[in-house]
Amino acid sequence: MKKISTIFLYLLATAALAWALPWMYNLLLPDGSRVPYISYSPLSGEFIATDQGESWVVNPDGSKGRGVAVAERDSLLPQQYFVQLSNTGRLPDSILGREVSPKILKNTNFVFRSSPRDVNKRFADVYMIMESRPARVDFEDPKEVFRTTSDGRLEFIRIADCTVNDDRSARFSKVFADRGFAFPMRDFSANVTTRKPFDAGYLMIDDNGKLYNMLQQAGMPFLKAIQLPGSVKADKALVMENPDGRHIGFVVDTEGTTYVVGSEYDVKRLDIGKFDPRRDNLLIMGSIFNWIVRIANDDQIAWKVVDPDNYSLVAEFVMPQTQSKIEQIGAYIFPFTIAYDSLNDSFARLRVENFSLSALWLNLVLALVTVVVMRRRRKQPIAVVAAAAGVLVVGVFLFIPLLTLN
Amino acid sequence: MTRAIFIKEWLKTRRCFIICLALALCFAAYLILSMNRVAVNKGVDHIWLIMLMKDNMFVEAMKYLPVVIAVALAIAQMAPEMSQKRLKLTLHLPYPQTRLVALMLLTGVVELLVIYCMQLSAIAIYDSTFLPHELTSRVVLTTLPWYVAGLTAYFVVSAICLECSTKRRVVLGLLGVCALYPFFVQPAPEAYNCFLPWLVIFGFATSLLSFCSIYRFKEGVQD
Repeated sequence: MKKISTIFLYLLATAALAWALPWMYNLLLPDGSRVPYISYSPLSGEFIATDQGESWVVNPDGSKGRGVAVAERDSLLPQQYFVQLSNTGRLPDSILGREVSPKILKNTNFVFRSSPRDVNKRFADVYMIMESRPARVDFEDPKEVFRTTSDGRLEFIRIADCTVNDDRSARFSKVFADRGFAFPMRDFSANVTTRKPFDAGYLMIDDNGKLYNMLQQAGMPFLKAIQLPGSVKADKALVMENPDGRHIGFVVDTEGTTYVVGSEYDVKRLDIGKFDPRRDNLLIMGSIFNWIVRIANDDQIAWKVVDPDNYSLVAEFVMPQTQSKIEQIGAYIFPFTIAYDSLNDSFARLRVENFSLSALWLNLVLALVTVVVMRRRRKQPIAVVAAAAGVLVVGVFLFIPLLTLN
Repeated sequence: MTRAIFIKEWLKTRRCFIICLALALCFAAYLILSMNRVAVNKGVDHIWLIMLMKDNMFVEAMKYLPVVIAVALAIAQMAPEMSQKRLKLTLHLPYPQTRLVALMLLTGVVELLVIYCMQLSAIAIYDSTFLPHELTSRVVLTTLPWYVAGLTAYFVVSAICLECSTKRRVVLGLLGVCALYPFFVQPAPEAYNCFLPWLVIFGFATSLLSFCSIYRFKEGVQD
């Protein structure tokens, strides 16, 4: 028991330092790196970066191009700075053959976000459902939730008294059975809020990868199977409800291709390459001129500009995510790091990451010091060898406990 | 002898146990009354909406309470052993030392489990009166890591109390902070569902630290 408890103490100390030391290192030495705000000018066809009040054109190789004055930037990016342009009388009546006004631009601009943290999370097994056609103009908070049962039915529960609404459950279950929805539901997306221009209901993906749109209209079920092109199998659905009502969302297939789902259930490919909602942060800034799609992950940040009419790629710029100097130095000190959370999900688990072979040199030196120190302490040869081998693998994380927990 | 050890530990901790139990139940009552107030003022549907849309389980206020209770109980149980030099006598009892220490710790764990179970049951029973079982279990699963953190804190503080060297006590204290950190890192509901079994194993493994302290005490380690 003595040996076991001592070994556990050293293991605990090693694990604690593998978390605490890199955390303290990053806290004490912020790397100071930041990504400028990058947009795309529909007028000049250039990417324009802005950081701390300074703007410049981004060259295709990512280097800094010519500087752009504030007034010029406003004119080059009318989809974003239309209020400023309008207030100073510089907003024309039309741009690129499209009629523009602050009202038109305001109503057609949209921002859509998808974060892996919101996708990779444990959802409750009951889902709220709104009334898509409320009796009054404004939407009302949901009065019922539904659950899916193991025998392929929907069960509606009244929020007021937590009882099952048998009539509605039977009606919806029948519609799902009639439309051939294969349970269990693989994925779903909905935007349950009263602050939205219209209700697109639920986008659901069944067990066969088929996409459906479910709505509750005047208490009655509406379920539409959405035809996907070819043999595409849907993997992830994302609902989008913009004021212009042109779209109801996106669907990503199992190959990582993204499709736009129109309000008439027309599905068109969005030419942004591979997108994995479970790994990539997505930001779409849409306007009547273009959609600027920003896809960021641990490896790179890509800005893709697509045509809002046919969703084809107009331009793209990719910035690789490089290690900062501080991170590079850290890789020579820490052979790995331990973390329990991540920006990419909402789960807690042990994450041993950032493995670095560069730290082997420091580990080797520390292992030699360990041998010297432990021999001076007259430890048994087997203990010296085990400690040196341990330090060679986990480096400074075991070296400190060996020196201090004597 | 086993019964005698349990009684010895119970006599040491009974006051603290009753205070902690009362505190836990008062906190449960506070959470229940808070939810009831929301339900009366804004309707039950508001609670459902907050739970489903804001991921608020209405139990955040008690997040650190299991740890506080565990620390208090560990101090009440183990501190007199060192301050009144009882540990030397205890270790001289005609009973295997490993089993003796295990029984001491088991007494504390049982008391903590009674407190935790009563508190969690009160919250779960109240929630189940107006929430479906999916949401009730979501509340329970969200709180479970905090109770496991409490058990871990109990073992770590017991080890600190039984430790005879001040320097090692500081080290154990720092290790305890690092050991408790993962239990509170992720606020999302049910974020620990997959990690929880490992945390339970880890929590009980920290009981080994107390044995480490006892062996050092027997070896006569001092500052």
